[in-house]
Amino acid sequence: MRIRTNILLLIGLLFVSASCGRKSDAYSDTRNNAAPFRKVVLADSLEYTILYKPIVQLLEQEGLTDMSDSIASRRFSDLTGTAWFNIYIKQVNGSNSPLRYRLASYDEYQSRYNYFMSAAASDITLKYGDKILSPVSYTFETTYNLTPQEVMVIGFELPGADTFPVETMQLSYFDRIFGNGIIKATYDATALRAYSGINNDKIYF
Amino acid sequence: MNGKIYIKVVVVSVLVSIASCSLLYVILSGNTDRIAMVDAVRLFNEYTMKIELEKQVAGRLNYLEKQRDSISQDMKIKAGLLTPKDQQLLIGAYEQKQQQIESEYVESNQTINEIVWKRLNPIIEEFGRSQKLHLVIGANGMGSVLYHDDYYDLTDELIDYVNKSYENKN
Repeated sequence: MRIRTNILLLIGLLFVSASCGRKSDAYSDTRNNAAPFRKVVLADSLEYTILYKPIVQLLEQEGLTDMSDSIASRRFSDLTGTAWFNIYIKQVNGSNSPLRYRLASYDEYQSRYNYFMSAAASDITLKYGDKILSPVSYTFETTYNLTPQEVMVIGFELPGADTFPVETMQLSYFDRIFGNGIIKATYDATALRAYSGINNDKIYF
Repeated sequence: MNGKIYIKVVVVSVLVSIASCSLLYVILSGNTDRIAMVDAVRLFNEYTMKIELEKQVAGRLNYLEKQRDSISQDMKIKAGLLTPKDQQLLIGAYEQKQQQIESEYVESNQTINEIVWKRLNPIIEEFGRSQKLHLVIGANGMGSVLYHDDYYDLTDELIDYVNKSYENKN
């Protein structure tokens, strides 16, 4: 009888520790830009990685984890009600910037560069529930061929009083430069909620 | 003693028979299940990205058609008031717009065709691997596939697969 109780206790402990371990793994995955926030699309030798960045992650990257600090709390309130994404574009088997991918002339390079600097934002939308949102912030972070990857940073303002994403989101990018059509990434609302780091408008690191 | 040997022989024979049958089943089922037929026209037309790209282009073509119709309307209204030279100018503008619509239509169709197949081909390959298929035959209504049993038709499954992959929910 006593042995049976001990075995049951051991199984219970193993179950609890496994669940805890899983939660912390999933949370560290978020920190390491892994699923469920990182979506990859391969199209014609180019890899598009779309990364959703929760507010908690942005604040942590900026070293603002002490919410009693006025700068941190102001930054938190600035970011509340927004959704941020990075779109990384790189060549699958190349060491060059994608801006140089199958490049025919210097003029073509310039036109690609100008497009990413000033026009690409109009080809990006976010479907939030049944609403289509346009970016409120866009930055192109070029590395001038130092790395084989280029990054677009995009911000959206969430509609209504949503402080963080509560609806399923789908980011669409129409790639008119490399002719790969529409690149999409869908983020499930439940998964986002679970990893948001925000509960009742309070942030948890 | 003889009885024991007899039992051993029977057991070994039964095991060998089971193994042979299983092997035969695997080989035969493998050979029949690893071919699929897909309606390429339906696959192309029901691919969500193709539908969305066509919608984008339709907006632009609609805009050009409205411009052409405005010129046409202008020609009708001013029919008796224009000098032959001005009339000729309007006819020229109308023809130019019509040509622009036609060339943009052809060009956009070609571009959509290229983009869609560029995206579809690797996904079809991925689908074939995931289904352990040796061969995927694309029927295009031109008579390349004269007859096929529904058993081999994986069009619906492939359409579902490519559209899920496009939405990128995983």
